[in-house]
Amino acid sequence: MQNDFLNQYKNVNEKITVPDRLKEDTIRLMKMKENKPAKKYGTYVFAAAVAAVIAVYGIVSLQVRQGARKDITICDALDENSVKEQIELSNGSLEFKKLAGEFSSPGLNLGVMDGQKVLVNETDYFAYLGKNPLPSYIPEGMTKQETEGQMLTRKEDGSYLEDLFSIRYEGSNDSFLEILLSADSIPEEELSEDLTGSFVNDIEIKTAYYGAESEQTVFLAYFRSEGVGYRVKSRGISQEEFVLTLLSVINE
Amino acid sequence: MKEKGFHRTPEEVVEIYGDTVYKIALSQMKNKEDAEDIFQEVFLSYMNCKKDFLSKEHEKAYIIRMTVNYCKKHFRSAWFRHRAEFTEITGMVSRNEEEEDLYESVLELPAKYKLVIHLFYYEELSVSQISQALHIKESTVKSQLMRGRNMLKQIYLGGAEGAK
Repeated sequence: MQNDFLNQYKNVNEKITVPDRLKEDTIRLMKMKENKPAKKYGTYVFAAAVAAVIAVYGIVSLQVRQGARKDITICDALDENSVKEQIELSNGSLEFKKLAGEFSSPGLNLGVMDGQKVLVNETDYFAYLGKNPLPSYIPEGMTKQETEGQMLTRKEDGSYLEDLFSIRYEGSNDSFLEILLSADSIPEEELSEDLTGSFVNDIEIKTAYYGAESEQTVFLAYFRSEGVGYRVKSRGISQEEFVLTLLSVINE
Repeated sequence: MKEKGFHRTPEEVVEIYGDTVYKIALSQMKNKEDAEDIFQEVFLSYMNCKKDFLSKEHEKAYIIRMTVNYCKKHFRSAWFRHRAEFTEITGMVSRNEEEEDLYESVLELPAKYKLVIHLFYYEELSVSQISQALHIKESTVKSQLMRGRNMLKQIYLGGAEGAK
């Protein structure tokens, strides 16, 4: 069946043609975008504004801090006490949607489904993922919480059923950074359905926050990078620290 | 368009990758309108891409990933989720009933399976290339191909027997 299928499926697809009208319209729009003068002027105006801000306030550099990759730059100046909804980066942008109410989470899988329940430690889980998924940048003052491991349900083929694994860092004043990982899918992806995706380094990333006025702003991000799904949640760290943490994962 | 790497005009990039983008979008979305929207979104976002592609394969992998990401975005849109599914493309692909059945069977597969089947059988990408384009493990690609083929066999043969 497979050879037949290969030939037939190719034959069917080869009969599909891209409508000429669609090609022409797309090329026209691409050219308009390419030649849009406002973009160039906008760039100069933005550069001038940035230069003025630097001169007045003495901000020397907005480069990503050591620990995150050096070829990524946050183009916006982020104020520690405010939450910007659109952050321009040198290789994309992040759109933060403001959410109402309290953040709730369905919680981790504790291995209640069929299969063998096993205690999986961090080393074993990272070996299962085939990589160290942790960010190279962690906000100052955050300490990793060591645990013996987490109960997961192992299937006969050695893979895990709903393989959610949580890594947690804690700081002062109840601040924390929690990274929820999965090889199967983006953890709690269903909760991110109404968020707008942004693209950074070709990776779709959804970001949101709760409580802009509070010192304990909660930031959230959902994305998938190199085969690992991430849900990153923080409380009590600045937006800049949150963004730098994300960038240090997706630019590794 | 870009400082380094490939310097493609809009005509070139649409000519080279238009077919790939449109057919992936069509098989994923199962309707022409969404496929056309995604086609335009992918190429317009390509204009913003500041990436230096190391090779044509790298560029193609990027385009495929963008297409898949835009398909997912459309899947999640409230409008898409709440409307009735409307498959209307089988008539445009073939007048051969057998081919039409096969294409319909592929469309019935879950999105991730029909994607790897399309990339493997139509785009003729290797497991390794699919893995790189979709950012998933090679073992996952292999298992999705296997499951997809098995499901397809059930759907296709089940349909054929039912028609007899």
